[in-house]
Amino acid sequence: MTKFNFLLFIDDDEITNAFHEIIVDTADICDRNLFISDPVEGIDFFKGLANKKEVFPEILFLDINMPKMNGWEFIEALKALNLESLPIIIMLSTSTYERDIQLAASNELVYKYINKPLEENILKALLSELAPILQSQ
Amino acid sequence: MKNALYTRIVLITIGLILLNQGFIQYWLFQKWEDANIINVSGRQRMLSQRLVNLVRAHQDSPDYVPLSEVNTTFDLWNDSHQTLLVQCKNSSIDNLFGQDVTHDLKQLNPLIAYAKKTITPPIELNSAASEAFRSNQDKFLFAMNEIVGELEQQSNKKLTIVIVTELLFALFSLLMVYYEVIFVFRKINANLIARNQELKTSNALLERYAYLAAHDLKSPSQNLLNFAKLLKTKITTKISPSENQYLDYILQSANRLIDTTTDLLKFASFAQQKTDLQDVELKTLIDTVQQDLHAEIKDKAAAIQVSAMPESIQADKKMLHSIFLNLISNAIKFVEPSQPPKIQIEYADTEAEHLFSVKDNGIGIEEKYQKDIFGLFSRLNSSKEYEGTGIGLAICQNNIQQHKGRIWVESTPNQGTTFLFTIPKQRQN
Repeated sequence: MTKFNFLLFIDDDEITNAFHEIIVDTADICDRNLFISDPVEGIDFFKGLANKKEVFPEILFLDINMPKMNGWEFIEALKALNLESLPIIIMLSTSTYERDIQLAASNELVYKYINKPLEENILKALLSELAPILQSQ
Repeated sequence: MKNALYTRIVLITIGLILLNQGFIQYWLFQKWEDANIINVSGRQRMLSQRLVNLVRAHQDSPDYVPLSEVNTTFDLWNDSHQTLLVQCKNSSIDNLFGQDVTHDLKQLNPLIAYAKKTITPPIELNSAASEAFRSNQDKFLFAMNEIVGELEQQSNKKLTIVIVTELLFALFSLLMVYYEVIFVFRKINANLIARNQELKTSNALLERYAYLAAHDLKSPSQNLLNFAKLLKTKITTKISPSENQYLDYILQSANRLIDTTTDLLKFASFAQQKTDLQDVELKTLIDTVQQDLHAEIKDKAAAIQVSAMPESIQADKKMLHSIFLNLISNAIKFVEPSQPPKIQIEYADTEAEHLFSVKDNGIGIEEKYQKDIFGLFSRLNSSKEYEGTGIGLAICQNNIQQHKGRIWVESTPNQGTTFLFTIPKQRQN
């Protein structure tokens, strides 16, 4: 596995999304990526997928502080959809609140917590770390 | 831990007071019974002597004092004696101190029997019999004196014990209260005062930090914006469209940084201010706000209607200005893009407060978010749809709370929002 199939980013900050898109493109680690700036739209996106495994994102990069629905509420809403499987969730935040880091560590659906902004080497490390897990599924 | 001790001591004290009350009530009742017995005993002495007089009078003139009258008094005397026997047997006097007043009373039975024999016909009452009767009654009087003395002594002894015990109870209760005040309550109170002071200090410090941080962030962010602008004008034609896009991101971010720091600075500066109350002319104030928002009003073709207002109210002018500025600016901002904003500013006079409302025809706020919107940096929409820093309503809430007023919101999504707030009337001294 040399690339991810599909990376999904949910973050309300447009400029951060634009920056991450450039980083993801430069790193060349996925066939497809999608940036959604409204968490409610993000939930709608998952509803629309309706368990279609072939188009399901492998990793969801999720911002914590968003209007309407924060990252933690997003995970609850995602759980409530009762999908057959869930993507690997990575919390992304500029917040260095101890509480958020603890919440990430204690949430079983969250794979890890990464501080924004993403960098190329972080993404590449993530690929080599997750490739064996994803291939075994 | 401390609180548990505090409660326990209060409960023990209450228990002691209740116990003491029960104790006092019980022994007061006993004392009343004692008094009753002593009273009856005293009357017995009187009756025994009256019998002597009656017997003598009967002997002198039987027609005038018939034997039946003597017998009636005797019956009264005898009945009382029997009653006393029962009462003493049941009373605490005999039981508490191991006395045997009942036994002493029983010793009097032969005297009573002798008296009965004397006044029962057909025995004739001559002067010898009368004398013997007097002697019999004197013996009774003497014995009864002893008994009454004994009863009074026992009753007083009992009273002394009751008083001492009751005083000890009361003293113990007082000691508990003293302990509570000195060792528990005072400590809790001192802790509370200290903690309150710490909180005040740390709050003031936080507000000060927020102010300083925002203040220091302002000029570097302004520099960032200025140089990015400069750079863009210099090189915009020499660089690719995507590179131009990057520059635009820098400009947008710098602008947002400046907006946020500016608003945060306002918030922090209001938060550490005290209200400076003065007569504020409402019409002038709202006109000024409309002038400040002139560009936005024109841009969105907003219609603002202001209902009848009092000429002036007592308030902090800058704070009130900021409240109206934020509420009206929100009302202009949060509408569907196609719709011109219609805003109504109204006033109602209540006895204690001035009630203002700012009503719009905008996108509204779902009920579940209504309690969150006054928080600092609280935003319900992405900046793509509606720009904002999430500080405006926090400023409104702070300024209104500093006036000891309230702010709240009534809203139906897609129909509009009404913000209501009160400014308490100042007492005219």
